[in-house]
Amino acid sequence: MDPRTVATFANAAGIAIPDDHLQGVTDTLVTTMDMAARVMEAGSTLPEAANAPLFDAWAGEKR
Amino acid sequence: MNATATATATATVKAIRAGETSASAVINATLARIAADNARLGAFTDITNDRASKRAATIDAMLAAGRDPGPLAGVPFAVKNLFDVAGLTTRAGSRINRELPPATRDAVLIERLESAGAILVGALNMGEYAYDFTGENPHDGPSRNPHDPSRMAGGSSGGSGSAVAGGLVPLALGSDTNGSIRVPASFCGIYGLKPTYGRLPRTGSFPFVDSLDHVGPMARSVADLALSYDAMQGYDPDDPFCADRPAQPVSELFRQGADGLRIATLGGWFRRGAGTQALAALDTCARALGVTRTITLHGAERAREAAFVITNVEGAALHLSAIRNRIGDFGPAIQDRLMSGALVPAAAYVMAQRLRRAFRAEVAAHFTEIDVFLAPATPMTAPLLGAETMELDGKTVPLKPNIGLFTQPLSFIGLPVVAVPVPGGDMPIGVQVIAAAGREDLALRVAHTLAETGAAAVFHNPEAK
Repeated sequence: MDPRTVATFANAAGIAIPDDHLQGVTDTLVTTMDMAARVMEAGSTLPEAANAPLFDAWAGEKR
Repeated sequence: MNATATATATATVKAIRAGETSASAVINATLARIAADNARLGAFTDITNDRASKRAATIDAMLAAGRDPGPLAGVPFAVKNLFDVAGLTTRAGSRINRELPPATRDAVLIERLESAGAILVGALNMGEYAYDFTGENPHDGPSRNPHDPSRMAGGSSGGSGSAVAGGLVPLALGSDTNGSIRVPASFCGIYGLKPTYGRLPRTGSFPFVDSLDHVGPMARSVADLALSYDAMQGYDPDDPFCADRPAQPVSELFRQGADGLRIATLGGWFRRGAGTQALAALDTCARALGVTRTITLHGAERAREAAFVITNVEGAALHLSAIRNRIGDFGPAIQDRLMSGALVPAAAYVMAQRLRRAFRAEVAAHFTEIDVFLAPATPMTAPLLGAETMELDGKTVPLKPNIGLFTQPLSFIGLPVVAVPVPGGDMPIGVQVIAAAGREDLALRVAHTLAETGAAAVFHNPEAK
């Protein structure tokens, strides 16, 4: 991942990454996206119903 | 460490009720220990001397008048500094929050513990905004491990672990999003309870990841976990995540022990990265309970990754304004994580939440034939402060993201877990005792049996002060 691309993308989101953090943010994002890619692949095999409830793993069913 | 410093909450209540000591004497001794040892441990950030002394006098007056102050009469306790304490700013381990006005009301769990007779003595150090497994705080200094102050207490409830293990208080509150009660319990050699998601109200605590945040007690005995947990149970409509369910008291149940319970160890993901002492501790517990069965949760690795994604995204969303406007005011360890978390695709977050439900279903199916699982709490004992890497399956990997390998999949689906300390090495390590949602009683029963057999015991380092 090109750090300049990360900086451009972040700027669009209103985040100005300090120059001395650009490589660190890029490395962290690569690590996260590596996991996120596997999560997305696994999640895409699940039914839509698995979306709900988003926030409440146990309590929501009791209400 | 003197005898009063190692007294449990249960023993303290008994002594006060028997007239062997008073709440005021207990609080005076507690405040003296904090004054003497806190500089060495870095556990407390705020000490509520006057409040504690006044409260102790009230408890003593109630007892003298024949009134019952409650099941925690005179027990000193402290809270991670993300809990609101009236009159104190809720710093949540951050520099930014210090600009906030002092809280005007105590967190609900503090109110409930004090209603049961306990006495708040202060607020405790923690990892910044709870985004931490080490207990190293860039603004307040590190929480130190009482058994070797050159080592981490664990995080993010590092001050809670250090204060309880170091004999400053018998009881502390922590929070656990990905392992922040269980990791310091493991590193410091004490007991910790992460209840079922939504079981204890978070009202008046500063959030980290709404989907995953839990709050719970850390203590030096299973009985103290049960006693404090019962005092804190109950629905609170001011916490939208709190389950509207009746309290299920455990104090009368946990002594039933593990007889008749079906127990298995977790294999696969939960053994792969574990070091020698972590595996030895797990085997010690399995032997003590006569456990021979091992279950593999196939979705565990993906669950941990999904928890990682949810944490990054929700953590960044919570702090988005500060990320945009004052990123330099966060500590260096979390700046990159917060900025990158704001850039993760929304689809990844939605899929991560989907996996949560799927993994829950996988684990729920096992609970039809198993009552309690055992797994390591941490891959290793407490690392040295400042360590950046660890060994995992023969590879050198970054330390901070990997301390919670075994805790993250379980908090991801909100299961109740008791972390128990298992003796056996120069430094402590813990084992997780895991039950189905709402069955804290079963996890506490097994933890109690492990303590009764000696497989679990609070760690004592004869070299420590």
